[in-house]
This record gives sequence, structure tokens and C-alpha cells, in this order.
Amino acid sequence: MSRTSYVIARLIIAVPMVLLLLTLVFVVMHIIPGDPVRAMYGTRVSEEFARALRHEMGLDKPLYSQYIDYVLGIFTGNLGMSMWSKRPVISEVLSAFPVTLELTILGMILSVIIGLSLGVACALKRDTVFDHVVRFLSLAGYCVPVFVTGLLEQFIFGVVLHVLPVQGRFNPLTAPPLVTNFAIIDSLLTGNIMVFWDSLTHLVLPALGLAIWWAGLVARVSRASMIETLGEDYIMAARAKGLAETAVISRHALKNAILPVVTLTGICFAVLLGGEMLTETIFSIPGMGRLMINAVFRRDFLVIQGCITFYAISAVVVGTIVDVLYTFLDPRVSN
Amino acid sequence: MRRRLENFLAEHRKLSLAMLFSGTAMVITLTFLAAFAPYVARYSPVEIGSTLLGPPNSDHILGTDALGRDIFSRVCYGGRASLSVAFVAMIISITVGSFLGAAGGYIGGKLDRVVAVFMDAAYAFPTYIMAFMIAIVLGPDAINLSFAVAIAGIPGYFRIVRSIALSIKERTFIEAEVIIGAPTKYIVIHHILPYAISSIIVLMSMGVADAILAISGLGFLGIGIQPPSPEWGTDLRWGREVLLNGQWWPTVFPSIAIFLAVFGFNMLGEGLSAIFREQAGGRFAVP
Repeated sequence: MSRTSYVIARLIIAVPMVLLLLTLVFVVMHIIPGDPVRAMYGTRVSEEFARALRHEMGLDKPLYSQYIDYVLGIFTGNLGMSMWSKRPVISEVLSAFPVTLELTILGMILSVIIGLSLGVACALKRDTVFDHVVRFLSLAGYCVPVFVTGLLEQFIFGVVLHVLPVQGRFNPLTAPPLVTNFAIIDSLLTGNIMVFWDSLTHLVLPALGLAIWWAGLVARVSRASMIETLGEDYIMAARAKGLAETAVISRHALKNAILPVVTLTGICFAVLLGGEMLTETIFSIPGMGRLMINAVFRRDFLVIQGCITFYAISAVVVGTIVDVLYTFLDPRVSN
Repeated sequence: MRRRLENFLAEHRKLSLAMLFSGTAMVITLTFLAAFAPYVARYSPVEIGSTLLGPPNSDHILGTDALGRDIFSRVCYGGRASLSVAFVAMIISITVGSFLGAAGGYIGGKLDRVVAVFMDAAYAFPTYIMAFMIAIVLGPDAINLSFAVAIAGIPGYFRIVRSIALSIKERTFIEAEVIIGAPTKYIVIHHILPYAISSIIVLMSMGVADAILAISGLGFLGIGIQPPSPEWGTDLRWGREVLLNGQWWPTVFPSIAIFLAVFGFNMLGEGLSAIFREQAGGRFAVP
């Protein structure tokens, strides 16, 4: 199978995957609670009010027609109206999504940089004190919940040292006009270096909190994979033909050892999206996590459903992108 | 000294034993504090005291929270909620996940393929967000919370156990049993289970750790165990309100409890895994 046909096949698989996930979300949100309005409001509201709400959200229709409305709504960008803000759910979600995406991607990049360099260093210094200390720390890092890391960061950098901002995305006085709602891109588009720096300093702590959590796992995987690669025949061949050790490692070993890390990155995105909800709460960042948690406390059913739908779709999309990228790194996959 | 330390650590067996023992010690300590909370803690976890936000002192060894409640009591009693919900959640998801995974992987067939496709799709969904979604539709109480975390964990266990079952199925000794006409039930009881059991024990230990993370995370967001009941994550949510004023003790002690519990169960799992792997030679199935 050529690479093109593999990529096409992978893209085609993503479609039923998304449909299955949407069905799962629909089942959990509509069928498990029996009546979503009662699940949200309990018995505190009158029957007339509950009936009016059900009608407004289309929950009084038969289940199959609710399901069709839900799936068609996603493809036409109609996720209903927010009960609280009276704005379309899709526009609420779309303005929060870039915030979450920016933070998650930054967290991913940091975790790969930290984890990969530690993992490779451990593999090269195998069974030394350094190796054991890093392995211990990477297991410990994975065991500290993201919200604990976040709170510790706030305390250390905000309360004790006063060096970094611990709330929000910008200094509210200099917030740039929003274009894409990606803080870094917006400040660059408006050509404002001060704001760029400001948004970056706001992003450092939340992104680092996410990264520390995941870097432990990246370090463990890359260590194991690097050790395995260094034992391969082609590494011995590269050394035997007299290549410098740095060339052997950077050009031959690293390229192959990095493959399991790439696989991990696909899962990483989905996992970090979950951790991100906690980080956003701690640092008061107005992303998808915040939007969804506020919607839970405001009992805004359609916003919750819209956010979860978006989470599901983005997890599949990123998983597919990672799989496709993988074929470029490892030609064996498509063969 | 350095050389001796390196020699010591290089002996993997000693390292994994060390992990096993320290993990077990952490787990036993926390379980003891939770189980014997009424005897260990001097104060009731919900009794409102007169000293608000008192720092750790000889009377309240971990200080008091914003309502004057003793933090040591809340950490001990909080462990009851966190540990028991996590344990129940782990048992449910491992039982369902391993049963479906082992049956599907060993027997195979169309049903297995359908279940596997569903599980793959569910696996793509962020586990934590799935637990969140189920927790909010079921409503916040301890039983619903354990169901939410359990259901969200099933796809992960299903995939691991199914791949173990698939790999065992192709081993020569199983093929030999099939050829000499051993019944499926005999093979499952005498070969598959003993082979998979060590992997499942490791998964159970790490599963409790994951469940504690999920439960305290949900508590932190305010959709887990509801106050005034003590739970580590829920308590952190309230401790955080005073953290930026410099009052660290309501945040730090529940955090330490969560960390020790998660770290303890993970170390126990890692230690067991290393020891099983050593004993079994190449036969151990979890990577």
C-alpha cells in the first residue's frame, strides 16, 4: 500500500470514528439521565417550566429525531442557543477553543522537549545515579495531579517570588484587540511586542504545569526506546564505520527512537485536554474547560453538550493528524 | 561511595524491591489513617472550630481551614472517600474491561470486532472528560462518582487485556492444548488466567492511582464529593481560595495526601511488574 492510499484510508476511518463518538455523547447526555432537564434542575422547577425548557431545547421530540437533529446540527454548525448568554453555542465554543488549543499545544511542545531530552540523556547515561534520579522524578512527576502542580506554581512564583502573573491571559489594561483569539498570534498580528511578551508570561506557568505532568511519561518512553535503538545492528555498523558518537546518536539513533514518542503525542493531546480543564480553573483562563464548568453550574445543557462534542471531534482530528505524520517519519507503516 | 551507590542501584532486583516496599508502606499508611480515622484524629472533620485558618500548631498539627475545621482530621476522613471510591471504580472497570477483553481476544468473532470498534472510539475520547460528562449527568454522590470513573476507565483496560489475550492465544503451548483437544474452559482456567493474573494485579494497582487522580480532579472542579463531606480534591478547591493570601496549609496537606496515594499505588504497581517480569522470564505480558 502506498503512502497516499494509507493516508486516505486513515482519513476515511476517522469519519465513522467521529460518528461513533457523537453517538456515545448523545447516549450519555440524553439516554442515561432519562430526562436531561430533570438531571440539570432536579425537582426544584415546576413541571410547566421543565416542559417549556424541554420544548425550547428540542428535548420533547422522540429520541431518534433528537439524535438526527444533534448530528445534522454539528455538520451545519448549529449546536443550539446557550440558555445563559442567549448566544449560539457554536460561537461560544469557537471563541473559547483557540484559548484551549494554544495552551494545550504549548504544553505538548514543552513536555516533548523536557521529556525527550531527559529520556535520551538517561539512555546515554544508563544505570548511573543521574539515570536513577531522573527515572524516580519522572514517575513522581506523573503522580502529582496537574491542579496540585498549578497551585504550587501559583504559590511559588506568584506569592513567594512575585515574578510571574498567575491569573488570566493578559494584563487587562493592555489586552490586544482579538483577531484569532490565540493570544500569541493576536499580539504578533497587531505588532505589539509588549503584549506578546505579556501573553507569553501569562502562558508559561499553566503550560509548564501541564508539561511537567506529561514529560515524565515522555521521558520514560523515550528512555526505553532509545536504549532499544542503541542496541540495534545498524548503530553498531554506524559506530564501526567510524562515525563520531554525536552523529551516531543524532542522525541514526534519535530518528528511530523518537517514533514511540510520536505515538504518545496523539494520546497526549486527548489527555492534556482533560488536564487543561483543571489548569484553566486554577489560572482563570477563559477556555473550553472554564466554559464547560461554568455551564455545569449555570445548568446550561446545550453548552455542556457543545463543549463535549467539540472535545470529541478535536481528539479524533488530532489523533488522525498524528497517525498521518507518523507515515512520514516511519515509512514502514504504509508498507 | 558513588560507585557503591551505582552498584546498588544497578541491581534491578533491589531497586524494584525498594519500590515495592516504599509503595506498600505509603499505601498501608494512608489506608490505616483512613480506616482508623476516628481513633487517629482528635477532632471531627466537620466540627467548626473557633480558630479560623490557624497555622499548624501543637493542638491542630496540620492547622485549621477557613471554617476552623481540623485539617488533619479532614485529611484522614477524606482518605475514606477518595480511597474507597477509587477502589470501587477500579474493581468495576477492571472486571468489565478484562472480561470483555479476555473473552473478545480469546474467542474472537464478529461480536468481538464490533465491541473492539466501540472501545477504540471511546478510547479516543479524553478519559477525564468522559468521567466528567458521566458524573454531571448522574449527579454528584459517591456511588455515581465511582460509576463515572469506572465507565471512563473500561476502554483502556479492555484494550490492554484484549491484546494480552491475543498474544497468549498464539503461544505454542496453547496451540498444543487445543490440538490435543483440551476444552476451552480448561485452557482459560489453567493457562490463560494464571498467565494474565500477574498483569491484572499490576493493572489494578496502577488503576487505583488513576482513579484517585480522576476523583480528586472532579472534586477539585466541584462535581465530586460535595462539601461538607471531606475529600482531598474537594478540600483543595476551598484551600485554593486562601492560597494566594499566603495561607498554604489548607492546600499543601491534602495535596501531599493525593500525591502519596497516587505515587504509592504506582510504585507498588511498578515494583510488582518488575518482580513478575523477572520471575516469568519472557512470559510476562505487560510491557
